[in-house]
Amino acid sequence: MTTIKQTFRQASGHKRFTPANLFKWLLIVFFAFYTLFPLLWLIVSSFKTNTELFGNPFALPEVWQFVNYQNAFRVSGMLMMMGNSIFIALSATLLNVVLASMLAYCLSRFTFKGNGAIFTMFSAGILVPLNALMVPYFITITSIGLYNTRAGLILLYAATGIPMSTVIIRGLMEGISREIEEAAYIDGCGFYGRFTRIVFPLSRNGIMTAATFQFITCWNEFVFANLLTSSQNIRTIQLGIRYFTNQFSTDFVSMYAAIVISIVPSILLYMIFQNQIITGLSSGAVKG
Amino acid sequence: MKKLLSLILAAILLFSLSASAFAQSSAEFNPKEEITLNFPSIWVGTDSKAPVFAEMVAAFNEAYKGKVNIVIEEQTDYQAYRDKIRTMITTGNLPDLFSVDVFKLNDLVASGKLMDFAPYLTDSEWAKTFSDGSLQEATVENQLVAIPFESAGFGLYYNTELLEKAGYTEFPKTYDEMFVMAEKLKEQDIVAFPLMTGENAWTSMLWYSNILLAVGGPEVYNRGLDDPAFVTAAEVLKKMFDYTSSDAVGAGAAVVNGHFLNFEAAVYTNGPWFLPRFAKEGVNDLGNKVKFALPPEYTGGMGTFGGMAGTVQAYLCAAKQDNPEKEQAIVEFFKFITQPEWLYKLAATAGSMFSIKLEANPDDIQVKQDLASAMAAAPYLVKHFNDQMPTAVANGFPAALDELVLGEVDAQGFVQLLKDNLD
Repeated sequence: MTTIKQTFRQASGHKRFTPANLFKWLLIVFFAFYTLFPLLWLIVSSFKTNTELFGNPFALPEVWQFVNYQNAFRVSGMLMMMGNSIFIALSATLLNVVLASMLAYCLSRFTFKGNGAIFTMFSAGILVPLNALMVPYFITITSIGLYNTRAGLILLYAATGIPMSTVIIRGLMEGISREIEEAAYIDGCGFYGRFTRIVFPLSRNGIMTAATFQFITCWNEFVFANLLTSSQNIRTIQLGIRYFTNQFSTDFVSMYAAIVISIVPSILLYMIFQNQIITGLSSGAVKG
Repeated sequence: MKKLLSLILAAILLFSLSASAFAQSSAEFNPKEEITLNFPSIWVGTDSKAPVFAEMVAAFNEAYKGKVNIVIEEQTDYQAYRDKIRTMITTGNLPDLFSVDVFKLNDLVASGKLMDFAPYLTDSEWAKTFSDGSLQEATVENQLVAIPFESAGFGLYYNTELLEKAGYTEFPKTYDEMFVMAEKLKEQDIVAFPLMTGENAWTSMLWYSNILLAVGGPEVYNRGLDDPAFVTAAEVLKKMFDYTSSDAVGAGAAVVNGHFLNFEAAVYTNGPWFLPRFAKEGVNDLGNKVKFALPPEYTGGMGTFGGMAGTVQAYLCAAKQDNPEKEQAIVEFFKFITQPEWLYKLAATAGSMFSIKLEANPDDIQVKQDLASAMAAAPYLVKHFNDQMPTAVANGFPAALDELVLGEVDAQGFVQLLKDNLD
């Protein structure tokens, strides 16, 4: 009998109870709760009335208010805005990682005068608050005729994300063995071939990480989406969420419903690419 | 019945007169081609003015079909709207029409890009429809750079049921008496004043404005921040934080509103736009348990009982135009939306008050009627602190208040922090 129990424990990975084990599980449960509780609270709150929300923020709703979700779609035209957000965020992310990986390739694999200075210059871009650049970006986008176009937002998001993406991708590209590239060179592979066939595929984890950051940034961006657009058919989902606030009051519950709707694509994207994202995060792409 | 009938007849008469006036005005205005005016507007979405405002614009576009077309650009976030207008002014890309609230008109005039309405209003019938002094307030450097639209008075509102628990049936007349009441409310575990230091510290700023007027009188702002009234008023405001909620430091408007609407706090201040929410969102039949009160008097102060803070809450502005027909189209639109029948509708749905003279509306909720009467009888209505001070000082108010409440500075230090923003 003892043998069967031991065999079962071994087969199922069960370990003997120890204080360290208990501490580990306490930590896991604590962080799971810490991470998931706000999300669960948001979802539950999105089914309440505003009075219930302020009266007892942590209680379950008396009657589940699905009407908040109807409001979210009805008032702000969420579907069209979500479509715009998906198109703009995906396009900007694609453009951004292509450009940033090309830049990162040059900075990480070649030694030339000014390499360090260029990298420092791009890295410094991360530290500049984008809101401080509203005026120059507005002038640039309006003067090239891209005001109130999706292309204007795509170009802006792709460009402003280059510093962060370059830092992430460069970190990973530096870790790729030079011998592989040299072997390809000996086999007659040129500059573009080595980038597209060797370095780019081997950097996919870092690129996925950069793409994830970039997508989330584009998805959540509000200030420039508002500044650089004027018509409803161009606008993104973050503007839709703001439909429930006004100067002196906010319909919080409908806004929460809109937020829940808006985070679904991000969660889906994470679920699809979670292996690459986790590998990218843990394999050095965002390590110091 | 007779009263009701006469009111209906008066309304019909008013509507038909102004409708015919519009028909006449619309017929007289014949531009060479249709003029399109872009109007980035915050009165959209769930804003309380949104439904009537949309109706107004649709009615104008119908009345001026083929002549003028107003295109609304929906702006859903007030701060983002201000940022956008500021950026557009800076870059010389002003929209045809826009509204402003917290902007200083002087700052806008400095851009040199605002339309001057003086030629259309001086000695005109339209000018006579505005309340006394409101057009002068919008005149900078001899230019009438904005049309005063929404106005506000900032009285007090108290929960009669909570005050009764402390033994009060009427609101105290002096600040000393008010603090005695606050102490009694505290003994009953009731928050006397919901206050905030977060965001723009809006309701705390309104309290400070009324205290300042009570201490220093209506001329207090003319004497500047060196006047001792600013320090005394800060001392009174700080004392109020002894009777506020535990989450007041860092709290935003939603927290303050939530406390009052949920029967957790006794005395509240805000503009008239908030009044319909007592009934709509308050618990325990709050709408029927709120009463209006005048801001108290400060014993030994220079203020007069009945005086209060008031302001033009929203101005209508337009970009300077090269085309006189476009300029005329702007005037036609602003004339249209400042007509009494539209403003009555806006007042009914959004609780707004206006810089245009309107007859008292017996259908308004009681607290709003009381506020309107108090404003009409007030010995003075003086713009609130944020309107009076340079932008930097107004922006510095929440941070200075934080330090005052946390005890990092005293009242003198609080005023010094405000002054430091002038440098």
